Amino acid sequence: MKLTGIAIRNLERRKARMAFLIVGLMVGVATVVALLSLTSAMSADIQHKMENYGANILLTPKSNDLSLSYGGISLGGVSVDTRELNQDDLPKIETIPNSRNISAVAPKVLGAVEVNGAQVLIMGVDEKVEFHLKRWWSIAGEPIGAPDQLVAGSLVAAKLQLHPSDNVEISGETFVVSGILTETGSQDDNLLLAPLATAQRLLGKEGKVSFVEVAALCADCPVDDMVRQISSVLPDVKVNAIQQVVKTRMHALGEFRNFSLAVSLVVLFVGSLVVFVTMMGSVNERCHEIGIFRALGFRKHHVVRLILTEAGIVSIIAGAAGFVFGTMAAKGVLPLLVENAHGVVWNFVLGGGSVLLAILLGALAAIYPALHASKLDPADALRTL
Amino acid sequence: MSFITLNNLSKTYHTEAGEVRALKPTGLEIAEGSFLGIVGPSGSGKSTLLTLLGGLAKPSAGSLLIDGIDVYRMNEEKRADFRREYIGFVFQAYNLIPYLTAEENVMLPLAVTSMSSRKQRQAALTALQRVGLANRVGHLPNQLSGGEQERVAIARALVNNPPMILADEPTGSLDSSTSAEIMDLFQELNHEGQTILMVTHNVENRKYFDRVVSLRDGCVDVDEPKPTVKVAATG
Ligand SMILES: Nc1ncnc2c1ncn2[C@@H]1O[C@H](COP(=O)(O)OP(=O)(O)OP(=O)(O)O)[C@@H](O)[C@H]1O
Ligand SMILES: [Mg+2]
Repeated sequence: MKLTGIAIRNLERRKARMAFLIVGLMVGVATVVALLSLTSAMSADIQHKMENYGANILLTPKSNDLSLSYGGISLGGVSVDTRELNQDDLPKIETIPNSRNISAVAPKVLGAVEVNGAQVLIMGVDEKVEFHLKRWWSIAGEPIGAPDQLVAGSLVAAKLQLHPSDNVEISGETFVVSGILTETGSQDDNLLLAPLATAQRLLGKEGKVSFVEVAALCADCPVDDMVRQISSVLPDVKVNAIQQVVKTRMHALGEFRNFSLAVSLVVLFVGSLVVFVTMMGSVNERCHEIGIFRALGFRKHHVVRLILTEAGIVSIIAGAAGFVFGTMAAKGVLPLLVENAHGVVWNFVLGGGSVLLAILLGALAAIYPALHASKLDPADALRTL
Repeated sequence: MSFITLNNLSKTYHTEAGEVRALKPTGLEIAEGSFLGIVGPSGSGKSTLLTLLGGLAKPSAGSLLIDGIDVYRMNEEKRADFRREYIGFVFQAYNLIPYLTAEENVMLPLAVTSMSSRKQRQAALTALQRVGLANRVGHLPNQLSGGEQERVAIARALVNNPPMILADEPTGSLDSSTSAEIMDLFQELNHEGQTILMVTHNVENRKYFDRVVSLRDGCVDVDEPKPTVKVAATG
């Protein structure tokens, strides 16, 4: 029989105590693992969404006039002689040095048309790009699928009493309302969406676009550089970076991360406390036992090794189990927080970290009785109980 | 020189209530092969003396020589090695490790030696046979009677063939017939040449000793070497 053998006997024959220790440590480790996995999965998710969706560069015509709109209130309705961009110029955007960071170029034409005697803002869009870019749009019915189809914003639909598959007449042409945009709370609610070419024809703006949204492909790609590069290929265009959405999301994620950190610390603290209290509860028992070992001729380092072996075994089991349960919990919870999540993966670096963390905590808690007992004469240690 | 020599060995406990002079400076020589009884009223310092003899607590003053080794000049770790090689303890409370079987408890002193597990097991079995417990090898302490636990404790004290055995009231919690069996066992061991120092309350046990040291208030009151000392190994 060696020291390891003694440690294993102790764990084998005092299962309840060992189970308590393992659970205490495991809960702490599992929480940390779960929260870490969740935050990293969520930031990966946001990263992914930002790569695929949402515009972050806006191209508008350069205008010498001062803007006549403020806070979304535009004077005099839609200004008639707004300047436009040339659709033919747009391919130049693809020539900038950072062109591979561009995931979508979404041109739009804006104008007013008369529908059933009311003035309505119509926006011509490249439907394939647009509906992909505005992934938060949800449509009752179908998105635009043909040149004679329209999608109506919720306010427009309410005002004109439009329903999916209704017909509307604009400038003597008949269109089908393929779908209604559910309320977005934004300016989009006031729009009638039409295919770009159709809208250009209706507005007499063939080959012209009013503005262009450009989506860059990554979270931290050099948007400012890209703005400069686009400005240089399109000198007559005003190029602005818009990062509002991204910033808001990043901010929310940052708060979640802080929250996770706080919860992790608390749970870890409680877990260590459980372990510590369990260990302390048996300090006297342990002390007496150590007295016996010392009387029988164990050196102090033998005793310390014995106790650390024991704590090590418990900690490794608890750390590994905590990692497994934590990851599984994160896998279970993630779909509730993020839709279409890419998922939590088994991160074995995190697994190694969990075991190390558990060993550290377990050893800290275990070493106290050992140190306490080794300060005493064996005779005094034997007297404790 | 005798096997064990105490030079003005003393122990004072410092407590909040004041000092307790548990053992006043004591000189004593004990021959190899002795079966020495330490008697005296409760609180007279018997356990204290035995603890000092076993290298389990530092004396306040004086020195202890065993086999020419100055026990308290060694550092603590060396003293642990010394205990392992020289001394077998039998405690009144048995002090068996509750989660180890009889055999494993007996193997304990060997667990920190380089002895192979197979040899350890053999030695443990021999010792358990010696105390008549070969049929209880795999039992845990709480599955054994008091007398059986006592025997396991004795087997553990014997397992590494130490030159001396120290026993503190080994029969203190046993009935008289079991006590007699245990004392007979000690006597047999002594007849085989084992040095034994034993603290006891029980006057019945006196007849087994070849020398009785009687303590009172931390001092040696009476020291009665029997005329019939069997072996005085070293003069
Ligand atoms: N750790 C200690 N701290 C303080 N005082 C102690 C300690 N151990 C023993 N004493 C005191 O020292 C004296 C001698 O104690 P010791 O245990 O040696 O007596 P004893 O002869 O073995 O008694 P008993 O027959 O009751 O076991 C007692 O007065 C006791 O109170
Ligand atoms: Mg005593």
